[in-house]
Amino acid sequence: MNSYSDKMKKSEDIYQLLKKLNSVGWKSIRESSINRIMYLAAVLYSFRYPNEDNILQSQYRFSVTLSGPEDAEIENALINLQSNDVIKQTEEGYQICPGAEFALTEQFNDKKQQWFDDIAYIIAIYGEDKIYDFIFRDPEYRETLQGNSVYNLNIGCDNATVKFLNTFKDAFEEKIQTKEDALDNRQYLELYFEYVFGKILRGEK
Amino acid sequence: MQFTYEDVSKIVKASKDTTENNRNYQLLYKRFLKRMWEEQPNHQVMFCLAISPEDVDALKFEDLEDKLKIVVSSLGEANYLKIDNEGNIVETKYIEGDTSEVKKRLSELSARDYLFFFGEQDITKFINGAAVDENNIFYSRSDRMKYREKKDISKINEVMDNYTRQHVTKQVNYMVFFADSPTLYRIDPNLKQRNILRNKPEHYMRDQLCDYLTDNMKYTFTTEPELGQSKRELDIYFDVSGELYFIEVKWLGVSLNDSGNGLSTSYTDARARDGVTQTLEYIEELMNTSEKSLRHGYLAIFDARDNKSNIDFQEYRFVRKELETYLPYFSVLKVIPLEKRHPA
Repeated sequence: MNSYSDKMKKSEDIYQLLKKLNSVGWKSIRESSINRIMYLAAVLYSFRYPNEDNILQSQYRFSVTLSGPEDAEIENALINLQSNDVIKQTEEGYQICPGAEFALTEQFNDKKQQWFDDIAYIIAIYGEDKIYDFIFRDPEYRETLQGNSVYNLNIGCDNATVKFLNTFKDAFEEKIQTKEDALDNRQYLELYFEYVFGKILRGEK
Repeated sequence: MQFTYEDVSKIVKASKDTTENNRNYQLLYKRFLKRMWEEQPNHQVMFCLAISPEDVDALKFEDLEDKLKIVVSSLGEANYLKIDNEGNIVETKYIEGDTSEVKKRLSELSARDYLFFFGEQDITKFINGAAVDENNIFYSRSDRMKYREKKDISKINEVMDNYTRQHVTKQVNYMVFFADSPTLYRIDPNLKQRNILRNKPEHYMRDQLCDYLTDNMKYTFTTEPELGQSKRELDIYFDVSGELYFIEVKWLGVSLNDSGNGLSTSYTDARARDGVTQTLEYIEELMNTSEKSLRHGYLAIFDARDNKSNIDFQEYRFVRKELETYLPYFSVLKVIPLEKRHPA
């Protein structure tokens, strides 16, 4: 993908994500939070949709910085959106300009639409002040920190977070009475976030 | 990762419940109403918020936070407020009686609407005529209450004050920084009476401060080994709503040397001034590279000098001109005096 096309697709993703967050009452968001939420969307995708290609994997590449996961092109996409008056920067972060729109195609990818809905819902429950706490405890993020090579985070289907989520799901399903009591992967994701939130409350790493 | 049969059974039951699966209901409760409760300065003022199931399904969240502030300001006249799907107040009343009488009345009212009773300890949900227990297996009410008592960034000086006066003054906490008596005795028996630090005490200082901040503040505090960055070993990093903060740790006094057979250089307040320069240089570096989210850098100074005088920061006159721009993003935390009160 060439860098112009990459920047435009990321611009569209960020705009759609900001719209979803607006609809759950979140008016503005910082650049570091946008990077972190996109990373979570990418790293969790293969657990949510295990039999499909990760629609974010070909587009995003996250490396570890002091602020957490970052895709260098997200900054360019934000500049692009800002210079086209789609978003503006405030004290609290980026906001969609009133009445602004950004669309590359007639219809934003359905799968992404649904996935961003799910992610926005989960993150909105806990708030911007907790995103870093979730990232810090993310299995893929922690494993990459302990590695010695360049800090590129694995968002493929075999990443450490997906592996942990499958262990989490198996541990749950070991104790169900019938197969009908099994949850769907979206519900497992929400449960996993509750589990990590418990650790955050107790200050556990 | 292990679940018990009981936990799984609770979760399975909840997964079949309509309100548990109602995203709007869950967002309203967990994102908006819980925060509303937490922001109440006085939980003695108890009240109830009601909303119809139809309005929950049609909820508009965009301006809900602002509308709920209006609800809070209306509490003088009513203790029962019903809102619509945009958060506008559509009905108010005053329910008489003590808490148990009020809760009985609320059970009746919740046959029709979803109710949220903002009580002294927490919010109680009323659904279909009954109060609903908070049913979370991953954390308890006590976990949530302890977390609420943790301080936010506006109280960092208060937290450091407590660390300085209450935590690091206990022998069990300060002894980890000091050299042990047998080693001191071998070098010179008179050293036992002095505040001689162990060799390279800075990692212990950083780790103890990091643990204390984790226990007392709402954030995740991390240090270099956990971050995997080969940058700066003596910094503590934390994030506040997407903005990066760090604390650089320095000490004054004298420690054992690397061989353990003598003393190191004695570090005086000149080192504190060097610490200021180094922290400002780091802020400059971070702000001019990819760390645009840097908000503030702090300097924490552990003072183990035998004769502690006020550290002379010379009103920062020694700071180079090009670093002065970064002074607004920098501060020195309250100095932490270390005193070996119980030479063993």
